[in-house]
Amino acid sequence: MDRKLIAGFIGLVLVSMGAFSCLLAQEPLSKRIANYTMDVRLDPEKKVVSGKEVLTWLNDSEVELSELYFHLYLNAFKNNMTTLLTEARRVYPWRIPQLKKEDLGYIDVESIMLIGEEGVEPIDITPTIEYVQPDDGNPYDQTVMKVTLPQPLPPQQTIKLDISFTAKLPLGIARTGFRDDYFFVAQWFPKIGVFYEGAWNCHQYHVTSEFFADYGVYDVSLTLPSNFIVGATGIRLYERDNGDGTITYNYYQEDVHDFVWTASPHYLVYEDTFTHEYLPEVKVILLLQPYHKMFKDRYIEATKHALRYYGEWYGAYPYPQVTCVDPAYRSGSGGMEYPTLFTGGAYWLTPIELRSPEGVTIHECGHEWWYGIIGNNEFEDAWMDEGFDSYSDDRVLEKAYGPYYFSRRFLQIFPIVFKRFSYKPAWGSMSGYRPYAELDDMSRLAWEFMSGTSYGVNSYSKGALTMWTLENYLGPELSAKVFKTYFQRWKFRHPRPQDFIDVVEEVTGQDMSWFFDQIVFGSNELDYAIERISSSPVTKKEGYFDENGERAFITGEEEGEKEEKEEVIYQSNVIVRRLGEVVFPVEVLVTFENGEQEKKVWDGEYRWVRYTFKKPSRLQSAEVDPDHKIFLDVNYTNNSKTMNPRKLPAYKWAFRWMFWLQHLLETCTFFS
Amino acid sequence: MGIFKALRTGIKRVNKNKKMWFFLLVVNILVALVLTFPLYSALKTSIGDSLMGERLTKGFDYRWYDEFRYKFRDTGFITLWSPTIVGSGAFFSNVDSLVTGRFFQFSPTILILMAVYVLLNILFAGGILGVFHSPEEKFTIKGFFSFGGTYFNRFFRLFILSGVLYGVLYFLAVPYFSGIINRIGGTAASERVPMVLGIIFAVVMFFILFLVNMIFDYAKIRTVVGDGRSMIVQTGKAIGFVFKNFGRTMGLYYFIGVLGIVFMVIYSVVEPQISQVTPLFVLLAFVWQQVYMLCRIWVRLTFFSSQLNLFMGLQKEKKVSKTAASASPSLAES
Repeated sequence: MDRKLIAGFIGLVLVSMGAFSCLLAQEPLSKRIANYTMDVRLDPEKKVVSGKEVLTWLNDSEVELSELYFHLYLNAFKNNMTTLLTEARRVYPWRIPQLKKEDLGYIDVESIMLIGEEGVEPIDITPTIEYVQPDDGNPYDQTVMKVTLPQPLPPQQTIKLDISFTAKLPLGIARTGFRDDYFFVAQWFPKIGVFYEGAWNCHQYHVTSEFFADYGVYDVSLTLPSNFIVGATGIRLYERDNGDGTITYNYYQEDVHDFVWTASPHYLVYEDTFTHEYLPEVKVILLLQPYHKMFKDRYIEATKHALRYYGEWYGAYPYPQVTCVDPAYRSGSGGMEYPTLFTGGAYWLTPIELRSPEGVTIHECGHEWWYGIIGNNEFEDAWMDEGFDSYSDDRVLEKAYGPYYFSRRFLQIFPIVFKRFSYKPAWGSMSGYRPYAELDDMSRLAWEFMSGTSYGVNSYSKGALTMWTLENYLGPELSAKVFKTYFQRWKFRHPRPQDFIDVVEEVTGQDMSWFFDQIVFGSNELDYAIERISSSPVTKKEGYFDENGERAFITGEEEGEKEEKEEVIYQSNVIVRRLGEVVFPVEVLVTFENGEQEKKVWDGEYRWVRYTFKKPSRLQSAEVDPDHKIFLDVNYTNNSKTMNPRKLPAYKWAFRWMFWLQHLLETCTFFS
Repeated sequence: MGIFKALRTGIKRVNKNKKMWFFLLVVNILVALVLTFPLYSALKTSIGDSLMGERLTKGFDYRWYDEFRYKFRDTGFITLWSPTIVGSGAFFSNVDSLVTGRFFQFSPTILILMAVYVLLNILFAGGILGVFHSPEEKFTIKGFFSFGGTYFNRFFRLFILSGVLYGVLYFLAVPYFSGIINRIGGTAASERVPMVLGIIFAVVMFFILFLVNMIFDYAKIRTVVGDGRSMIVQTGKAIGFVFKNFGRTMGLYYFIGVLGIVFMVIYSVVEPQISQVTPLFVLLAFVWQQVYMLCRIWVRLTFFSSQLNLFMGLQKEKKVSKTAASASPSLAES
């Protein structure tokens, strides 16, 4: 070994130790149950990652455990009969191509050694490997592996396993894999399940589900050809040129629940720094495809917006670095979140008004909070991260970029933005939700929704609409307090829906079960409407009336004369109906012609309510939920009625449509 | 004959026949009204006596639009209503449909209306060319329909012939090349590849569509000028004419096409300025729409008129040169 190499190596070790000790000096943010040290090598020709991991796992339960469960996600791409690919053919047939032999993916666990105390021979538990299918019993699915320990692991004891594995990466069709020399390596190593609520929670890999894992420390060394540019979860502590055309990068991150990495010789790398008045500084790394160079500033700016607003609203981003990856074209890896690294997605010729890549960048970066830091179970409570995040990214998009605009791509290529027609980002969710409102409950196992659309609608759209409705119901201040409290209390833990509900009730001091029971655990529609309004002068007295002990006959005319001298009083009636099954307290705003307004609050319990007013002015209009607080209301137009309806808009919009039709007809003369 | 002379005299002839513009506009409006009434009724039902009327008078409300589309989702043509077809959106939407053949996916109601309009305009094309070719060059309803009736049968056969070509384009070429683009896109390194291929495909489609359209325009012109009976012969000769005079026929065609685009740009710039918040302004916007439609009809008539001039001018030149050649054989031999 020459001197330079030795000096370099010593320097490297010292720098690494310095950085390592610096990182170690921090107070653990999580319980660090599953800790991985990995050393793996990528063979880009064979699309294979091989190596070993040392898993140090803490039995954080109160029971002895004699079995351990592992996710082997890559086996979902092993054959066409796996649960993921079977479901994919049913749910997203258009998204799954016919896979050739070389496109398939799998993971082989070559050995699992139980490492005991120093000096004690490791115990080979490889023969105990058993594939299990806890969700559907599909014998062709090997995405969950069980091993049996020679002796039960007592509570609060740690176990150390040395696992050798080879992972053949699939063609990138669903989140992970390769596309030519682009690699996005996710869900790629034997990953222990979560033991909580008294059982192993280790689901098979489903097409509509994401992931769930315990927090821990990841120390990963990746060896690959030196022409590859690499991005990964965590901080790069060192790199080592192996002198054989390969290079080894070491990445280290504490308090995360997954590790992902990407490699490509073509990435452009940009670095920037997020700074803020009181939030900690974050290094922003962008790995960009060369053909998306024009999106550089837009990606970085969007990432910074997410870091800023999520940080201000919920809590600071706790890691020193975040990496935004612009995925390769058709790599199937776009729009996904992983701890400290996320993927966006950009499309040539997309102006900023189309909010792409801004929308996906903010959404995926936002998952660092709702998924990364709040580690809810994505298999079972997808709405808790997708719904929270969709709601949050709507808010960020509106704050940072303003409204959405209607647009179309001329010839499916050239974007045309219709700036006259804008809308709030949050309103878009209703389009998806309305047609599927009653298909499923929002809280359901990800693969048990009726369809992929229903999963998406309930997790994303209804989730977001629910959070908006909750915010509007509670008011901005209380709602901000709820979300902040929930985030701070449950960060680096695994909350369930009830944990969120408990926080809401604690912060508001209200029983909110009526809300969550109906919305989260139910699938009924919410729809309030003004059924009828009327207003007319109070009916004149006519007939025999006993007054002052005498019977008098009063004619309508007499009364009329009396009234002429006095002010005319109008009796106005408003009937509000609950058309949906969801009961929700609503406000009803009644406006009179003299400008007077009266606001009523209806508990919404019965199917309808009538309000009667006697005022010196005719009724002008009535509107239920006038501030449109209830985002879940599936019909907004029926929320109001006016005594003086406007005919103009129907003409206006009909004429506009007529022009299009006239133009279309003239275009047809091309053929005559 | 040069293209500008053909255009100039063509425009003069079109301008002499203003009644014809208005007649064609009235027919266009009447046919469009057939479906505008149900749409108006749907809009009225949707807005009803809600306060949405107020909001939609002042501007646009996405939530209402979303509900409207959902409510009438089964009615087919009503769901084609979208803010993206307003103003210049109409142009982009329809040109898009023309190139990709997407209008075949429209609801049957719209397709039937389009078919009726096409048939009417087969009749009108005879009327237009007949009037333009008549010695008086003057539009009268009687004369117009008389010419239309005379040529309808022949133009209908031309329509069938051209339909075969368009059919090949839309039902064979478009899916075939889209498939190729998708396949190449599937292995491409970036989305730019399929997008650039898409642009090339669109340009080629435009070119072929315009070429076919122009050939059949000249086939009609030949039929009227020479009272031709066999439409296959007329089409063959029209092809020969177009390719023999490629620069001039194409130059004229595209020049008039550009005029159409200029009108569209002017319309698109002015239309958003008319804030339609009062009945007067809604009426003004409607009038402006009809002014544009009139321009569009004017462009169509100018195509016929100028191409007729070019054809007759070039035929005349050909005759003159033939006569000259037979009068001075030595020159012809040289």
